[in-house]
Amino acid sequence: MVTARAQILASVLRRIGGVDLKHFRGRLALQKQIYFLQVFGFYLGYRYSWYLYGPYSPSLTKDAFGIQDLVETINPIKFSEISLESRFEEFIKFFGPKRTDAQWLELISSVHFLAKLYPSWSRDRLAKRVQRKNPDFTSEKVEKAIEYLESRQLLTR
Amino acid sequence: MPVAVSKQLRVEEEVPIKKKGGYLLPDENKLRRLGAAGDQVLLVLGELMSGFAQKLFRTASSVSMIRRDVFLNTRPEFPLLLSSDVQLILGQEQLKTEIGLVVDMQQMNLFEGPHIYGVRVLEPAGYRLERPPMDLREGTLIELRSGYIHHDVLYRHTPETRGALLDALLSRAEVVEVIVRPPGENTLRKTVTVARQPQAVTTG
Repeated sequence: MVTARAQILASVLRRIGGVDLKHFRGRLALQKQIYFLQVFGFYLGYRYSWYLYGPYSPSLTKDAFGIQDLVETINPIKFSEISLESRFEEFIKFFGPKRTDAQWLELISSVHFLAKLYPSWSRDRLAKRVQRKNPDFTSEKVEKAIEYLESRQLLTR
Repeated sequence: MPVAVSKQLRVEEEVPIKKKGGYLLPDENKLRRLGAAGDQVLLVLGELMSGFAQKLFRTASSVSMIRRDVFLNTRPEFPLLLSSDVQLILGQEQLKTEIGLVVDMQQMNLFEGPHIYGVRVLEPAGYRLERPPMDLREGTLIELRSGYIHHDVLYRHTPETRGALLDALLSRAEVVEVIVRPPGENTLRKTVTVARQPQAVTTG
């Protein structure tokens, strides 16, 4: 039984280029892509918690495993509301060529998640917290991620 | 998209993994409490364990979890039933999809996350559904006949049954009221005009 939410998830994934659940990096990318889908206002009700690689939704993982075949056959999502359609295009453009860059996605989603939860934190504190998760994320990288999110009005600090 | 975040953050530092006999094993009780029930535990387990093993070598810092929905108090633009628009024009199939989508967002704690309280036909006035599509409990039948579906019915039945009930309710409806609660917000009454012209379906 595929729920309405899982069907919409499948059609979203079809539109943004499919999903790779065989590899960890693919699953990580999926988590972060749908995280940002919700950040852009397309709310599918996936609740995210702070896990080892930043925001993670167990119920998204469950749904994604149930719709692997459906993603290959379902029509890509298309919105009749012009404003929604253009917002969705913004969402796709947001990733650019880094749509499947798991490390980049982990970085920007982690920064976004913590910045939303702790709006009073300084950039330095935010960077330190992200580095606790992944020491590869230097202060410079975190700074760039913040600027990237701010430039797209996804973060106001 | 500004987000009002409550100061009452419930932050926890916990690893949903326990040590037993020298092995690291998933702490299923803890995972369940975090909302990863039943078979989700198995799906999540692989992610957690692989990540945990890698991180163990990379850093000695603790694994943290934050129990908080970062999207709470963020007004969604889609689904339209959760958007700020109080009046909507949707096709019957589109409305059914939107209702199904919101129902699927149900959280373990019903007071968290979005919720639909009911769907009521406003027009035509004096709406009567003469032939309900299936046998239902007396109270549900009375409500359905008078053009109302209670949230208990929406959430209790399978998607197929829910779809059949909504089809029956919406087949002659012109305007309906959907009582919905967006995530972390107060209840809204949405007035939806059921368009009989084919509408572009959101799922393509």
